[in-house]
Amino acid sequence: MQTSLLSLQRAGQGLGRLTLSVPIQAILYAFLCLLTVWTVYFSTFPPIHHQAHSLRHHTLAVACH
Amino acid sequence: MSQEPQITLQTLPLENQILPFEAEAETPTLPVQITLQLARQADKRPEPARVHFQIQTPPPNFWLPTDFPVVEGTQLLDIETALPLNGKWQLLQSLPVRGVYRLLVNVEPLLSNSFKPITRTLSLSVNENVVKFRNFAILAAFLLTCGFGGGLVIGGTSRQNSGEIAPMRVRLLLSATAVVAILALLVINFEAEFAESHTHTHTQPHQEVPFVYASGFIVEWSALTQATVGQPAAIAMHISDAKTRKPVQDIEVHVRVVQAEEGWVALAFWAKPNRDGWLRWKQGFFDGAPHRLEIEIAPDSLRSDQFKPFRFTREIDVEPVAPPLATRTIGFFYFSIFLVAGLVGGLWIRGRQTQKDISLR
Repeated sequence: MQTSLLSLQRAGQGLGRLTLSVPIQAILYAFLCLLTVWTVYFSTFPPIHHQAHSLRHHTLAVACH
Repeated sequence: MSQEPQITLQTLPLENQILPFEAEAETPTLPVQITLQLARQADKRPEPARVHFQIQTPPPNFWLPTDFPVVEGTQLLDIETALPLNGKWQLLQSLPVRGVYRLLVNVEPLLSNSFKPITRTLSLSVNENVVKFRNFAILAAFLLTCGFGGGLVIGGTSRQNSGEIAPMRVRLLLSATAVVAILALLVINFEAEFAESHTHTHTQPHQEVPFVYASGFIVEWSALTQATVGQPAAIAMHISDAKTRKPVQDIEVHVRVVQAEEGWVALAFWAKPNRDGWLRWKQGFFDGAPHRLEIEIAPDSLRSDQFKPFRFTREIDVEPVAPPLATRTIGFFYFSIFLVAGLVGGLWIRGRQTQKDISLR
């Protein structure tokens, strides 16, 4: 029982270290930023499309409709 | 031998000053005025003629799509009409995207063999709006900065003390970015819910009467009430005498196609019905919103019984089409490059600093 708890704890610490490692942090950060970019400039969800409509039409390389 | 007539084409604004239609513009964009002139000699009236006029939009550019990619490489206009007696025919046309438009002009004599038919293919170059380049540069700079700043902070975490669960700066950075993203999404979604709804309302197809009776005429209207962006819509009307039921030719039809929500003119022209009383044209709609066709019918100058011009309108609901995923992804790919380049740059600089620190110890 104690052994399994210990191994779980170690696995958790390992996962924590991995999560806070530079490559994973960089990937997480990039994903978060790019998700925001996609939502604002490229999402077809109608309310978002409408809200960002003018911005989309006034930015090069953004296909609006 | 008689001198063959010439056709010239002029635009207002001049070709190198034309900008594409600006959606959501603060001041509505004016359509481009295209003037076609059939001339024989400076002092001589041209022969009666008929024109077939077509406009093709610029071909699609996969690597740099426009804001209306669905209409790239499609037919914007296809119309046939007799030319006015002075040989000068004008139309107003909103040009939706940048690039080189192809204009196909075919002029034939109304009286057989009075001149050889003329066919010309002309090109019309439209430059991109500078605002789009500026906004692209601003966004690129913003993404580079975000990436670079993020790289500097994240790269600094390698100097954390062992046993430290989560470096404060990373937590702060991630939290701040998450908060910004959440706020942005919240604002967008709340505004979308509560702001006055922009109505790309899809009105029910109108069951409009396909006939208009006025001033002794019957105008039969084609049943078109719906169109789709990127697919040229065929529009037709037939004008006949209400008593004799014979087609009428000695009239002028003034057509204005207006985007009904914002009031800008997509297309306007003067035309005459053909011998059978038909006026037909194909039109490519580029904005997925209801459009209103304003039609005025007036007598031409040669008609014996001059009647008072009459007007009527028709609604056409235009179905929007979302750009294909691949087209949107290419723009997203460019933006991603800026962010990732900034991020890698930040990490690299931080990595070099760390190496220096270690070698100094």
